[in-house]
Amino acid sequence: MKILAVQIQQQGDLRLTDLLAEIQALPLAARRFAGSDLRLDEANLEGDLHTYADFVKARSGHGPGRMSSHAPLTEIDLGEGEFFGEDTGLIFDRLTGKAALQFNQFGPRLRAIEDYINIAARNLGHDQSSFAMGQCLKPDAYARLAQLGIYKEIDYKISVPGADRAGLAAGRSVGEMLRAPLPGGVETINVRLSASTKRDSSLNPEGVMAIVNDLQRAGDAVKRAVVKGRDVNGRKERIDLIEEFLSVEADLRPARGHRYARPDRWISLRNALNAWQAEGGPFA
Amino acid sequence: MKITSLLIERCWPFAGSALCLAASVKWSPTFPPDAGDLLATSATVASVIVGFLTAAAALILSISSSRVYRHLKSQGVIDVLFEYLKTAIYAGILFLIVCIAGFFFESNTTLYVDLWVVTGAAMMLLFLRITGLLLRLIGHV
Repeated sequence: MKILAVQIQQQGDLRLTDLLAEIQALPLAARRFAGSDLRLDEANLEGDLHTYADFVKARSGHGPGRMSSHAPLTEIDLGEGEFFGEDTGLIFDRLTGKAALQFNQFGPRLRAIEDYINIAARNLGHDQSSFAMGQCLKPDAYARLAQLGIYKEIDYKISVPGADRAGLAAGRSVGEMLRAPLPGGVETINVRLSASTKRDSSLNPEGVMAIVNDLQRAGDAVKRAVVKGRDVNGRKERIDLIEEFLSVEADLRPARGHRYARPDRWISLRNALNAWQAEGGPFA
Repeated sequence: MKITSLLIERCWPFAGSALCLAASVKWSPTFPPDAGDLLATSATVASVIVGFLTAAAALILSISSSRVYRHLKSQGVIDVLFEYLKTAIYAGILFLIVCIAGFFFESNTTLYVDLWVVTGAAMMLLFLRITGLLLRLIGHV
């Protein structure tokens, strides 16, 4: 199971733990907001330091089947109103906002969870509060970025949602959404900013770092992000931000139904978070 | 309340028809002596608009297999579009009822003229809103 290092920033007075407690007090059917297909399934708010949460969504499209070495694959029957579900665990340090997030290809991902939390805050009457979540870079990547004296190029590719539920909840009009590129048209945009060809010319360092920060927040919407430049010794450097996002692979044994059990996932997330914080560097 | 583009999009036809009502109250226009022709023409226009919008609903459903439609549907945008369409159809039907009622009651009163102005303006503005969005949607398919 892959675990990503994430920084959560609170904007406003509302604490994320309090918001999760408020959501958890609602019945399961009322935990989806603005028609979102995501919901908070379970949260553990009792520890002194950490808050644990599990977000789930119904799996759309092609679902899994049942098979064995002697039997062909067959369908798994579902009852009326039942779906295959996917879950994503999150644990965060209440004081610092440092978090460990499970990566689940089919489950809720970073951007979707951030959108869900912010939509929930607005729907529960906390208009002045919001939360920003961004992936963290490896400590040496921060150092290498900081050591670049000359930024020659930043090249990134990002998927453009065009129209999404979060946009509607944030008050974007239908007309505005229909003006954006939609599936069938452009789905990703490529941006390449380069300094002039003179040897010592450089992009504005503050501008480059601002873009890097924005790309960290965009999470899995970023398909490619590369910064090129020269360090103080004049050596050429190429930093691939996708490869440099801090993550760890946890070895988990599947439990009942060939799924990773919630307690096991939460323990792995806590171990990863503790290990990153013990290592020091920007994530500590 | 925060003013967003969605709020403006939802409200501008109603704000526009409220302005028309205010203008009607201020200047108190009157119908020509024989208002029957005007009311009949208005009712015909309302019928054409309601018919067009009902056909537009079928047009939207005809693109339901496209990627754009499925994406917009999954994100809840189509639901808002249908809400606009429904509102425009209801406004057209309401204006139609107002026009027909004019044949049975005294139509050259201030109250009736104001009612005719506000429902007619609402129908036209709601029609403009949904047709603009539909044309933009079709441009993506």
